[in-house]
Amino acid sequence: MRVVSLVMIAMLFGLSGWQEMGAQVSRSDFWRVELKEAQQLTVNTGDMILVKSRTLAFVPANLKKTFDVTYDRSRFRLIAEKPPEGEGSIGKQYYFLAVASGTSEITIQIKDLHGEVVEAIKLEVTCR
Amino acid sequence: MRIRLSMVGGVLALLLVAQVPTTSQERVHQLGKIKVLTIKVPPEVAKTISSKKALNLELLQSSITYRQSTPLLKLRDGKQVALLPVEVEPMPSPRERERAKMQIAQLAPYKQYIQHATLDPRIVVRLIGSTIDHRCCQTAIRDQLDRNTCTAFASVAGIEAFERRNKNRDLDLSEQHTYHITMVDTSSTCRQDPGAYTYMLAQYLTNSKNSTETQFPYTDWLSLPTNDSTHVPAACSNVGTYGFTDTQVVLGTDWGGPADQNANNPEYLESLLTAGYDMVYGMYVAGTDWSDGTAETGIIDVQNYGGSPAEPYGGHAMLLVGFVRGGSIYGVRARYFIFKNSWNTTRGHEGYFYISYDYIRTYGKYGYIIKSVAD
Repeated sequence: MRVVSLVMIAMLFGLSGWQEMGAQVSRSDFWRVELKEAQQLTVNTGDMILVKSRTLAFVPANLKKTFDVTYDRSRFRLIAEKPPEGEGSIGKQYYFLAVASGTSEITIQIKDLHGEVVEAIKLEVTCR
Repeated sequence: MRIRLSMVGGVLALLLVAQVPTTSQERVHQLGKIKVLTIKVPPEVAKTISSKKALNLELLQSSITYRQSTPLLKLRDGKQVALLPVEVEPMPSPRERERAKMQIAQLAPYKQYIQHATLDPRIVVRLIGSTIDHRCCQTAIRDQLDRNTCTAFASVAGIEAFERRNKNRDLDLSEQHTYHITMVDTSSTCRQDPGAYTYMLAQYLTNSKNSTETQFPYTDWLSLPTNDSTHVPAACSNVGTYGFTDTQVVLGTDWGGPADQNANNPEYLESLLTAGYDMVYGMYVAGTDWSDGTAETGIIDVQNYGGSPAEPYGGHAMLLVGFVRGGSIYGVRARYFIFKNSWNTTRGHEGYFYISYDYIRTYGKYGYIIKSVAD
């Protein structure tokens, strides 16, 4: 019985030690935002943000629509952009890295065949 | 066969970098005579040949082998460069006639699908490896309206063509039901309309069966009820009739496809079409050819932006029904695949889209062929 208790105590110490170690490790979060309406987000420097645009059906009525993104280059680095998953739709998925603290906006625009913005949805990001 | 090779920059020098010996197995047949015309050279070869001067016809002839009808030039470093045959003499040699006869025999199972098929070797030798066109075996072009349902339309087109070709039945099956099955299997709804992974429909339509258009008609997005389960007619709610019993999924190289038999390899796709299969095919959407009128007047091709292929911005599924190799469209020599689209007959070439081999190499994703159906 005594031996078992000692083992349990040792395990508790070990666990708390592991937790302490874990807290010391710096880590970055990965945020995924489906931007169908204006949103706000708070992140830490070094975090990755995946911003998914609204998607449109890939059909003749939407052939002239294009997607664009505007953002503060001093605060975000655009790592990659990808189309939506699977087949049937058009849109964009943007992978950003938060590189500097402060508050700024990432805006996804849908433009018509004349380049006019027909829709713009903003993501306000506060980076700590 | 007499072939004119068109290459920019100077075939002359090609020869000096060409290596004579190739294995006898590879050398299906050699060129009899070469006419050197304007030259078009791939960039990697152009650099090498810029300092060369002399033309050695014998060396050139012995360095060219054939893979199907594509002449390949073997270089000293072991690389092979595909040359574009831009003109074929109308009269084949006796050897080519013999080869054509053999190919005619091999064509027997699918001869009916070749446009203007004839037993005349002079014509057939041009058709083999140059054109396969299954448009004659398709049902009518449909219209997916305003929804992300291209995967359902391509899959239904595949079943309908299979039924028509193998069972001599003209069916009009339900895209609405197919998409509903897909949404149920992906835990989504037709109203949410997220699209789907094309190759997964091979599995969905094996596990669940489809009904006819009359039983479950297609609607636009606005006409869909908010609750997905309420729009399934009683006749279709239990089990449908039409679906697959055997399919073969073909993945692209980025999706784990093997080195040769993958969805980005035009030669493999050609072989499937030549064997009589259509292929439900998913690809990336990139460039402006889809929207600027090119789809109606020519071939959708890879567009370069700053030296790189245009970034894709979407995905689309269609039914692959044929290819034209070394043919011409509106006076321009080209190689392209023929796809049955679901955007009505007002788009593309009366509903069919021509897509270049390079586009498929660059933006092809995956697909599947239908080997047998249930009904």
